[in-house]
Amino acid sequence: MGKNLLFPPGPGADPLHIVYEEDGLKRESSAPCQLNCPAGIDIPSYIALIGRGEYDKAIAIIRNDNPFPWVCGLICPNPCEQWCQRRYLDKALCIKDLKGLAARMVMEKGTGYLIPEPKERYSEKVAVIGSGPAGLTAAYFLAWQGYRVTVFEAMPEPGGLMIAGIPEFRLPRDFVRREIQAIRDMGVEIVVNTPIGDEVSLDELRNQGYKAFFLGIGAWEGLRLGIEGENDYPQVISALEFLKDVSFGKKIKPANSVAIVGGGNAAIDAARTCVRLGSQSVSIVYRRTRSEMPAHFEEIIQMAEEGIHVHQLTIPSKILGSYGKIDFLECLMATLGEPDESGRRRPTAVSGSEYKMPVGAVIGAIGQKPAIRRYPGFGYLDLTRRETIRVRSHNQQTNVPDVFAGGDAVTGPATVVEAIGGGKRAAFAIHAFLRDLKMPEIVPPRPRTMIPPIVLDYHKKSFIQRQEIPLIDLDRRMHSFDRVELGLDEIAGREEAKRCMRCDICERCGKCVEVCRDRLGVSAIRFFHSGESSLILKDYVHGLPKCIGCGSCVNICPTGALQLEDRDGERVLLMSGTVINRIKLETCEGCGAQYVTKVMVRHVEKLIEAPEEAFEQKLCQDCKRISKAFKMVGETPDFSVQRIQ
Amino acid sequence: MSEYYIYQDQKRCIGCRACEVHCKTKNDVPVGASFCKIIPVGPKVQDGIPRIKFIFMPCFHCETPWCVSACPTGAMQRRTEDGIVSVDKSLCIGCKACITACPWGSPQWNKETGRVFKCDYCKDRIDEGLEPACVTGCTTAALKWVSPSESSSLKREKFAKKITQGAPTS
Ligand SMILES: Cc1cc2nc3c(=O)[nH]c(=O)nc-3n(C[C@H](O)[C@H](O)[C@H](O)COP(=O)(O)OP(=O)(O)OC[C@H]3O[C@@H](n4cnc5c(N)ncnc54)[C@H](O)[C@@H]3O)c2cc1C
Ligand code: SF4
Ligand code: SF4
Ligand code: SF4
Ligand code: SF4
Ligand code: SF4
Repeated sequence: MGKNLLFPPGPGADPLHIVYEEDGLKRESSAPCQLNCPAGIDIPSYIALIGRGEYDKAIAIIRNDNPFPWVCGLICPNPCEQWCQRRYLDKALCIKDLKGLAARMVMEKGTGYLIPEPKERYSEKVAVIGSGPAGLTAAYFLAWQGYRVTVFEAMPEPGGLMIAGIPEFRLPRDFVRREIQAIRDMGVEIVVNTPIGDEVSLDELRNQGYKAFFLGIGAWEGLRLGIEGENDYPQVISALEFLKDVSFGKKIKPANSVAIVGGGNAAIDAARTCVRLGSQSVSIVYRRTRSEMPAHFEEIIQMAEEGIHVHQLTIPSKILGSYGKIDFLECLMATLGEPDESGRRRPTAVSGSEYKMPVGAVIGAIGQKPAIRRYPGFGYLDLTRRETIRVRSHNQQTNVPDVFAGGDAVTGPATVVEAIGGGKRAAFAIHAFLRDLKMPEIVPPRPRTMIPPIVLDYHKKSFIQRQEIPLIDLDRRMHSFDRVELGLDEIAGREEAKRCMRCDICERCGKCVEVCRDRLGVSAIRFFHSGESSLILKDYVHGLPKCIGCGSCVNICPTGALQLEDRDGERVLLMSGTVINRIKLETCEGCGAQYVTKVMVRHVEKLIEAPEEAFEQKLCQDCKRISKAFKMVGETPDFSVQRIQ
Repeated sequence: MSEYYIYQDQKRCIGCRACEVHCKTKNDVPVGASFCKIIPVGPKVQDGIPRIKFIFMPCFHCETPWCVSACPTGAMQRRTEDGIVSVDKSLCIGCKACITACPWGSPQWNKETGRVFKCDYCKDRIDEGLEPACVTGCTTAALKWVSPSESSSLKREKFAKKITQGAPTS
């Protein structure tokens, strides 16, 4: 263990668990937010830095794992928040918006992102195919490791769905471009308008000297609706093509009245885009019910506010029209039956329930798959049943040894942060492949710098409420592509950061609870089971009224999360930076030291049934010795006697 | 009181603290803690001469030790056969109740282990037929190990009375 302990641990601290500064690192995090982040970002540390206003450092921590803090700060579906322990107290932290705040502060008010310098320089060239978040992340980590990276992109601008899919009112393009520029600044070359796999094959790139490949081609082939009339009208379009056109400037409404088929993000984004383009009546047609929609919750709410109607339990059956134009979408009503393999209940059509919905255009958004069959030049890649590229899960390697893949091309339509995670894993595996190192078999926990928590009293901490994210007004939303969610401002962000309970420090092993209850018999510190398999301190809101301040819990805590400090007449008990108790101290009548808590003295008095006068004089253990020695020879104690250790 | 006691002939003691040093060495006691302690009382002028008394303060291994009553875990124990009071360190949780309870300031805090340790009359040595380290190390033979065989009940009572002057317990 190092000398400069960040959290002076009790004697029970275990070097494997303790947060120590020998190399400034703690090996593994116990924070559920970090454990459930597909990019593995050290969330509690960057939140603490935001709480102190150190935005540059916060961004540096995020960019250790994720080159797109700003993008993720705006549109990440934040799986981390769904695991945030704070939700058992009140509500989860605004983890996503805190990230967005840090990025904005550094980009707009600060000096921009720090461009990491590689430690080594290698001569090997690596080719990345596709410039979505997966490809660009792989490029970022490969360049950081010291490789020469070229990214090939089929479209005229890099960014994948961040540029050509996710609508501007959720993800302003300016932000994406600046984060991509930061990757270019590392020396990554991006070649646009250059699809690979048909005219230019991987073998050709091999001949040009590329030693390894990353395929991040996304999932761009829209699934067909498979209904009558689908191929007969030009007003039947796929959501991705539609959003791409709008993104690249073709801002024309498909029709006055539009039906969008599907319940995911693509469906809702297409619908909200139609509203902004001026369509009068926009409906979503979905087979199951609103609560089964895979789209993010906020989006479903915001969509409803914007006047988009959801036809639940509705299955489209036919597209009808005249003179090359759509007139109606015919639909059937459905009921939900037994759950299917995805665990969701399977809708079945009710026969005879047909009805006609008058529409001028139909947008299909029922899913996409990688367009892999369009690119024979990739060679013989193993595919899954869903026609996604098959890889080894921890190193993203395909059946062709020098070809790695990640993002939607592997997972099917997923999220930006999962694509980032895939790109990152692939970059480390490509490094291992090129350097002839052992291929990663698991994703190793990333050694991390431990940022000290923000110290705050339990009642203050527990009463700060989750900040509301302001939205622009509805009228502006419906008539422009302006960003809808405004994010946190600095003051709100700093308050929000204080709510974090620092689950990375305490591992919730329960040893403190055990010792206090079963050994000491006091039961002051208590946890309750919060959902899954994890624990949370029970008395965050009330403190520990029964605590006698003995410190047994501190002695046994393996992580150093628990700490005792005597100051200003009080014994302060801290857990992960939160003051969970303050107890008054007794002052020694001999030397003036504050040596024990007042409640401890009363507790012991009761236990030993001593005569009352026994504890009348309050003396610390050293002064007790002195006092007794003097009394043994019939003298009055003199506490000024020299004390030798 | 235990079967044994350490008698200190205060006239012989010169305050050299060899007892403390031997105790520390034998018991591996780090800085800040001491199982036994010499407390100087005085100097005080007696018959025209300034005199200082050095009082040897180990644990007195009380008859009904408050440290034992206060201990919630049973770590603090009184050996039934001879009354030696000692800590079973595998049971101690470091709550310091014994430190608060003992009127003599005997149980000591071990910062490194987060547990209490204390004078146990060097019971390992006693069990081997030796004397405690402090007694062995005393340079002037002021400390005497008094075992049951050589102590008349009268002597023991006198000693007990002396050490309990002003003390609420025996
Ligand atoms: C409408 C919509 C909204 C979404 N909203 C969110 C959201 O809010 N939050 C979230 O986290 N995720 C969201 N997603 C999902 C997210 O955008 C994707 O999961 C993510 O972009 C996948 O990244 P990727 O790098 O794998 O692929 P993509 O972003 O699809 O990038 C693939 C790139 O590869 C290029 N390419 C393809 N083939 C070739 C080739 N042969 N040669 C060269 N280049 C090629 C493509 O042109 C494209 O630029 C949304 C998706 C859609 C469609
Ligand atoms: S309280 Fe903080 S550390 Fe704990 S899960 Fe939430 S964000 Fe993560
Ligand atoms: S300090 Fe308080 S919470 Fe900790 S063991 Fe002692 S009584 Fe229990
Ligand atoms: S549960 Fe208690 S003992 Fe365990 S790490 Fe957390 S604070 Fe420490
Ligand atoms: S530690 Fe104190 S109370 Fe316990 S036996 Fe020794 S002198 Fe008595
Ligand atoms: S510190 Fe150890 S020996 Fe003393 S009372 Fe507590 S558990 Fe018992």
